[in-house]
Amino acid sequence: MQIVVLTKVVPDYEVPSADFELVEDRAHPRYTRMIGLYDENAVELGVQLKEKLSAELVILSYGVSDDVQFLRKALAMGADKIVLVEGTSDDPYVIAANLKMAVDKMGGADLILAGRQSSDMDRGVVHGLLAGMLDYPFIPQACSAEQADGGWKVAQITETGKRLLKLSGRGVLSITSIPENVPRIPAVKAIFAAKKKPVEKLPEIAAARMNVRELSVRIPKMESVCELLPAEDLEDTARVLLRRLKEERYL
Amino acid sequence: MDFSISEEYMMLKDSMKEFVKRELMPLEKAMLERELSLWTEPGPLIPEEDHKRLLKKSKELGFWGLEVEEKFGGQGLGMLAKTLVMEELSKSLVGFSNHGFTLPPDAPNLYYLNECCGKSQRERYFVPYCNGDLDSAMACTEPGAGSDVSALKTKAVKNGAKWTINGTKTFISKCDYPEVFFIVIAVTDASASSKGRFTAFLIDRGHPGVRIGREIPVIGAMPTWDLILEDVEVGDEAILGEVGKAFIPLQNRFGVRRIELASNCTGMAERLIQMMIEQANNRITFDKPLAERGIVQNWIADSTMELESVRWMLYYAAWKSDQGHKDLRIEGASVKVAATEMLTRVADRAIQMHGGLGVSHELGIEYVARMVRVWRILEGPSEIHRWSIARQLLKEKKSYNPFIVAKDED
Repeated sequence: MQIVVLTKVVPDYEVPSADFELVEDRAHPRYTRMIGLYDENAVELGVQLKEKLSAELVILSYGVSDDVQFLRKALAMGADKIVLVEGTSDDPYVIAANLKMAVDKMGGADLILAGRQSSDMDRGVVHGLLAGMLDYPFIPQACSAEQADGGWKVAQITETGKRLLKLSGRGVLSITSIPENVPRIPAVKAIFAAKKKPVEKLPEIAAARMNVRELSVRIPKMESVCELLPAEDLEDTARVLLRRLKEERYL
Repeated sequence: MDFSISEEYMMLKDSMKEFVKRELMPLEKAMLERELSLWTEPGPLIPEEDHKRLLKKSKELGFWGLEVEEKFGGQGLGMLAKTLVMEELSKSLVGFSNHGFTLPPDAPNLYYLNECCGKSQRERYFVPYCNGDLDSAMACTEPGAGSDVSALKTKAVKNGAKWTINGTKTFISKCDYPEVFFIVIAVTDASASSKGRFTAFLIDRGHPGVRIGREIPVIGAMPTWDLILEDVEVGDEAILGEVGKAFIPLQNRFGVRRIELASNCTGMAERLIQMMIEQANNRITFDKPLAERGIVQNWIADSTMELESVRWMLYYAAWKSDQGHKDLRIEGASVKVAATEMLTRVADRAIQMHGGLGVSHELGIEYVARMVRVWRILEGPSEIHRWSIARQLLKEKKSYNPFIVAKDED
C-alpha cells in the first residue's frame, strides 16, 4: 500500500501577516522556510496510517532543490521517502500536472493527502486539480481516514459539524487540523535516521498554465485581538469588560 | 573553516523549539507566580505532575543524555548538540534554570563520573544516573572555602578498611531530591599540594551520618542546603577515581558545567533581544515608536553584538570538548564570564526598555536578572575566572591559541 502526502515548503507562517514583506509579490527570501501548516497535519495523518497499515509513506513536493532540507522533517516524523519535482512555477495547473506525472511514475497511490490550503497563498486549489487529472475522487476538509472494505472511511469537517463518508477506492483528501492530527515533534533518533532515507528528484514537465493572471498581491494591515466575554448577564459582562480593559492597561 | 550547521542539528534545535512552545511556555505564568513564594514555601518551581509529564515527553523524544555514550543509553551526540538544544530550552523561563526543568542527566557530573567511575560504581551510580533514575550533586563548597579549594576542611581519614568523613558543606543543591547521591570532596592528605590533597567520594543521601542542614534562600530560584557529614563511614568502593586525585577531574568538570551555563545565558539573551525588538516596534512614546530612538537602537545593537560574540565562543568550546580535549579551563572560564556578564547587561537593557513592566514580575525579565546575578558567583565568580585565565597565559608566556588543525579524514 502506498500513501502519498503532497507537501509544500513555504515561508515562515508564524510571521504575523502584517509584518510580511513582499518582493515581486512574493515573500522576501529572508524568511525561514518550512513545511506548510496544514501539510504537517496531513503528514501526521499519513504517519498514523502508515504505522497502522504498514504502508509506504511518500512525501511528494513540487519546488526547488533546497526545499529538501525542510521536507526532511516529514521523514523525521516517519515518512519513508521524498519525491521532489524540481520546478519554480507558481501556477496551480502546472504544479498539479507535475505532481500527476510523479504519481503516475509511482504507479498511482492508494491514498493522497494534502493540507487543506498552503500557508503562503492559501489557495487550496492544487489537490482538487490533481484529483481531477488523476480521475480520483476528491474530499475536501477531511480530518481523518481509516481503511474500510478496500476503500476508506473518511471524516469530513463541515461548518456545522462532522460527517462520515465512504470512498470505495483511491482518492485525494485535503486535510484540516484537529487535535488528533497535530504534527508530532520529531524524536532525536528519527532526526538522524531521516538523512539516510531516500530522496528522488524528478525534472519537471511542460504543462499548460491556468487561464488566470495575477494582477497584484496585497497584505492588508490588520490589528485585532478578540476575546469573547459571556453575555448572560449584561451588567456582569460590563464589569468583566471593565476589569479586562484595566488588566490589559487600556484604561 | 565551516560555519554551517548540519540539517540534523537544525532539526534538533527545531524539535526542542517546538517542545518548548508546546510544553514549557504554557507553564511560565504559573511558574513566575510560584517563584514569588519560594522563600516561604520551599519546593519545586513547577507542579510535580507537570514535571513528570515533561520528563516523560522529553525522554520519549530522545532528549535525555544527548551527550551520553550510546552504550550507557544515551544518544552519543556530544556537547555541541547538547549546547544547541540547551539554548532552545533556555528560551523559556521554565527551562532557563535547572530548578524549573532540565534534561537528565545534568552534564557536568556526567563527564566527571564517566571519566572516573570504577566498574561497580558504573553499575550502581552511573547507569541509573544516565537513565534519570538517580540524581547527583557536587558537595565541594564549605562555609570557609568557595573558589579557594585549598581551604577545604572536610576530612576523610582511613581507619583500617574504612574511611571516616567529617565536615560541613554548604550551597549544596538537590538535597530535597528523593534519589540523589553526592560527590563529596574531602581532604585526604593535608600536607600535599592541591593536585594530591583531595579525594572524591560517592555518598548516598541516606547514608548513616549524612544530614541535610538548613536551606539557604538566595535572590534567584536556586535552592541549596547545608550538608553535614558526621562520622560518615565508607569503604574504598566509594572513592571516585584515585585517592588524592580529585583536583584535576574536578577542574575539568567545572569546565563543562561552565559551558552548559553559558548556553542557558545565550538562549535567554536571544529571547530578551526578541522581546526588546517587539517592545521597540510597538511602544509609542511622545508620538514616536521607541524603535526610532538612538539609545534604544544602541541597546538592541549592543545586545546583539555581545550575544553573538559569546555564542561563537560557546560553540567553539563545546566543539573542542567534542574533539576530546579535556582541559577546557580557559574556554570554560572565558565563556562563563562572558556569557553571564553579557546576559546581565542584556537583561538590564531589556528591563529598562520595558519600563515599569520590566521590573514587574509579569514579564519574567527581572527573574532572569536575578538568576544571572546568582550565576556570576555560582561555579566561580568572574574575578576568579579572570585571574585563572591570566595566570595560565602569564605562566605559559604566550597569548591564547584557539587554532586546532583539522585532522586528515581516513
